[in-house]
Amino acid sequence: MTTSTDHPLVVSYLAELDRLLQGVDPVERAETLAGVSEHIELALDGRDASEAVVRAVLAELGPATAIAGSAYGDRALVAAHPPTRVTNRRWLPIVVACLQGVGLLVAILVLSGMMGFAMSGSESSSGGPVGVMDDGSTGQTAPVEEVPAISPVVVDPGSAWTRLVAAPTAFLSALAIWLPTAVLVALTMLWTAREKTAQILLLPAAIVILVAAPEIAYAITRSTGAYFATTLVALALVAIGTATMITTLTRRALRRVE
Amino acid sequence: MRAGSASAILSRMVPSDDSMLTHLRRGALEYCVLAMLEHEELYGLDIARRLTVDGTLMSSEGTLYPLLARLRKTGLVTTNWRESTTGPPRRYYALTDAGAEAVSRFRPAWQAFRNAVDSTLSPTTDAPTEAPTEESHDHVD
Repeated sequence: MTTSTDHPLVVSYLAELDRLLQGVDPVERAETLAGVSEHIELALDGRDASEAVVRAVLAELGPATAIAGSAYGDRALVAAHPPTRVTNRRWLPIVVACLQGVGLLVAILVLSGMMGFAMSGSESSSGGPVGVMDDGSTGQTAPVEEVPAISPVVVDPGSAWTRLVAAPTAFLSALAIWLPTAVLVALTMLWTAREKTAQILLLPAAIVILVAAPEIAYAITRSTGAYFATTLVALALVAIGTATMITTLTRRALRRVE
Repeated sequence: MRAGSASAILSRMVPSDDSMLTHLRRGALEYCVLAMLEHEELYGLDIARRLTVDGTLMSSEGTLYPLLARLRKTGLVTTNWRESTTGPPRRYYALTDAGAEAVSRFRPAWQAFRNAVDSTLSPTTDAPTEAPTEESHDHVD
């Protein structure tokens, strides 16, 4: 269970305070940190630990340098400002956003490629259809040529295996992009644990939705039209949803960069 | 001496309001904290909120905590943890005998000090006042 002191802003605030207090008696340093930490926890208790609230609490506490100044008293405050960790700088959220975009693109391209393969194009001109929808109705006496083709593209039941491996294949292709993304997300302090989980699961979840939704629609309706329509709808929803999520998370991280 | 350059030099020498307050607080603030604990035990957040209510005694709440650490180190306060039904456990600060004695000795010392500063800052009618000279137009804002 995450406590309020796990928020990235709080973590970096306390880390900076710890660093500034290095020259102070260790017992005093530990007690000061404990006191401030408890103060934050109590101040956030019962309140929604949103960005704005956390910033307000930290603003009331005042800058870490002021607290350290109080600790050093008359002694000069030697505060060399160390450079921000490389994984907490501006570039990281932007790179992650780009990687997520590229990963999604790759996954969508692979999936549409495989789906195209799974759909048979047209009947051969000389005879019966290359593939028809098997809706269980046997004993068709009417000649096949008279069966109107409702749509030129049908789902071939024999391609079930292709559709089955579509998801893992898409995932594997995107793996080369997903892995570095996941590593970057794990290393940075610019997102909360929940936000990191969302970033890491974004691509796998999108792939699962894009594959599963049309399959479910087809399983229920046995209609190629539904399969197609659901594919498009799922694509639109995934595109909008992931774009929104990536934008929101990237903005949040950029605001947290020092 | 031209008026412009004189006031420019003076404004660099006069301390800011901020640093003035900091220096004033340094002597008295810990006794204020001790006085707050004379009749009740309080936890850190509570003390901080009370002290920052008008920004005079303290401007940022965090500066309380090194002070509390020092008071504990010098044996003027003790702490004990108390569970709370409404949230996380809290550390309560209480005055020790040494702390109570420190406050009771501070009170007369402070009053004497305050009176001395007051009377020096606002001179009485007996004290000699300087007549303004004609040539100086210096204004210190």
